[in-house]
Amino acid sequence: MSHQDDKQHMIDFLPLGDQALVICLGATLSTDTHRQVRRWCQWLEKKPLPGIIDWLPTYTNITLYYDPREWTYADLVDTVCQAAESLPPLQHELGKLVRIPVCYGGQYGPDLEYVADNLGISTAEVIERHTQVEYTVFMIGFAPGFPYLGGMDPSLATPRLDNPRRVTPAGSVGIAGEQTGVYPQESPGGWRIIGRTPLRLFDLHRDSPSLLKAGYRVRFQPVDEAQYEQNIRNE
Amino acid sequence: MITSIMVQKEGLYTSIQDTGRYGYQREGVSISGGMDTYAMQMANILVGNSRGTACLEITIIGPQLKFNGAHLVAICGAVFDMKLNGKEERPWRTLAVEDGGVLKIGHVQQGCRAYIAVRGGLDIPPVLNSRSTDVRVGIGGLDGRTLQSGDVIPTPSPPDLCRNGASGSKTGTKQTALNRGSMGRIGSRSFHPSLIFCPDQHIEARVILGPQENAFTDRGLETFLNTTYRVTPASDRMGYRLEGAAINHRDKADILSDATAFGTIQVPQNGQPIVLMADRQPTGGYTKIATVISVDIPKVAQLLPGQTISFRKVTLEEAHAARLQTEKQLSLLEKLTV
Repeated sequence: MSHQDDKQHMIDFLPLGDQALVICLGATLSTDTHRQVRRWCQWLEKKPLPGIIDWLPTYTNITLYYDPREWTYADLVDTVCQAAESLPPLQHELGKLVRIPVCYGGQYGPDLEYVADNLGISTAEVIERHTQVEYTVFMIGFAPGFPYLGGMDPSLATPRLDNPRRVTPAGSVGIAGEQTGVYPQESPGGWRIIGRTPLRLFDLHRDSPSLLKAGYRVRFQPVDEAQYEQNIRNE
Repeated sequence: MITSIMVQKEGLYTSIQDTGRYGYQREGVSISGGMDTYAMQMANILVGNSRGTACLEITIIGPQLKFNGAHLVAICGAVFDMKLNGKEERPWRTLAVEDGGVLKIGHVQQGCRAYIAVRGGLDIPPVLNSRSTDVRVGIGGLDGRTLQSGDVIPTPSPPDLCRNGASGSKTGTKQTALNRGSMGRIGSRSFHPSLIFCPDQHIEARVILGPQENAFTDRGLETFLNTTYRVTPASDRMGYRLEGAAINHRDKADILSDATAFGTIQVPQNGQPIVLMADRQPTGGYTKIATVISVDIPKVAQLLPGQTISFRKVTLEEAHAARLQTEKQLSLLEKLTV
């Protein structure tokens, strides 16, 4: 697998205003592009450059927020290009796996029956298809701890609610179109809620408050109500 | 003595902000922070704080504050009706507030926002390395929300409220020493008018185009750079929603979610631009036509609904030159007011 890392990947640069540099790692989302995103994240975690006050990975890019007192755009691009030539390979082929316990259906998954009926399958089959896949966390954004997950079985695709709920409880696991995800905080929303996790996707008491990060893998694990309540007490 | 500031009246939208919460955007946390960081930094410099010290950001209608203990205060930004113990005061200068002093800030006369800096800062715990308030998530500042009447903000009691320093009238500050008994020698400072930004009804914001300028037609780009847009009432700390001539896309207005920056202008399908501000989400899925240059963002932050804005494209070199000039000025002033 390491030969893939030796290949020179084309990268492109764009300014995002006068305080940010976008490093474009691919034109479209692909496993290869995501792998490069992970490689750059691995490098940036080590804080290799001064004057970088923040950085952010997305589906196909890494954005560096720089201090204009320390960098001109041109110098930063040059430095990143040089780094690209000797960017270390991925230490771990696979990102960290996080298992997310989910209590499906009932009071925690009010839309599970709808999703099943709409697809003409049983609720057990919905749960089966949702839990047998390993998802990739492409990025965190939109809200604290909110994961953009890839890999949902397309056969589970269900349109959003016509009328979004005013309140979707924190931990709700849902489907919207071809996407699946988890609400880290209570918020209004139009996702079809099929279950809920007792895990806190965003917790200020953790050093790194977000449970998930770009590059992690996720598996959903069904638990019953008793286990769910037990987990809540432990959290 | 325990010193503090009590909020007697909260004003329209008053919150604790510093220069922002950096390092957690990749965990989905907004940067938040002051909208007009120039005014905020100037207020801090006036009272001898480090530039990024937490302040009160006030909006359109200011609060009424009672000070427990002596404090050295400065307010910079838009001009508000303001009275200290019944006497009218002006912004962009230090105010020596004695124990029990009441600062009554009313309606803004010009502009939108101002910053109240207190020497020594505000004694509230930082969350994720910042005292900025993120009201959406409910973190930072005072309990993650805007201030309410009855709130008490502890302030550290500085060992002294004196400052020694050069008179510096050449470079724009003037200082007179006053003997104030227990407060010792206090410098009274104000800034030369040339350093003060005066908010206006219309502003021209310089921008760096992209990263998705190719998502727009040539006509679309032309429209963007030649239209006077109006700030709608649906504008807030997350973003300024503008109305005016629609900007045409070549195709879709959606992109794979990507990073945003302070001052980034996104254009959804309806062609109406939105200038993203301090409480923006770290990522967004709309095409981005340009980003306001950093030194012009404070001008945008001083616009009120109904006022107008137009955009002019500049090079990165111009943007950086303007930024470095401002930074040099701030550094110089900082050295004089230590």
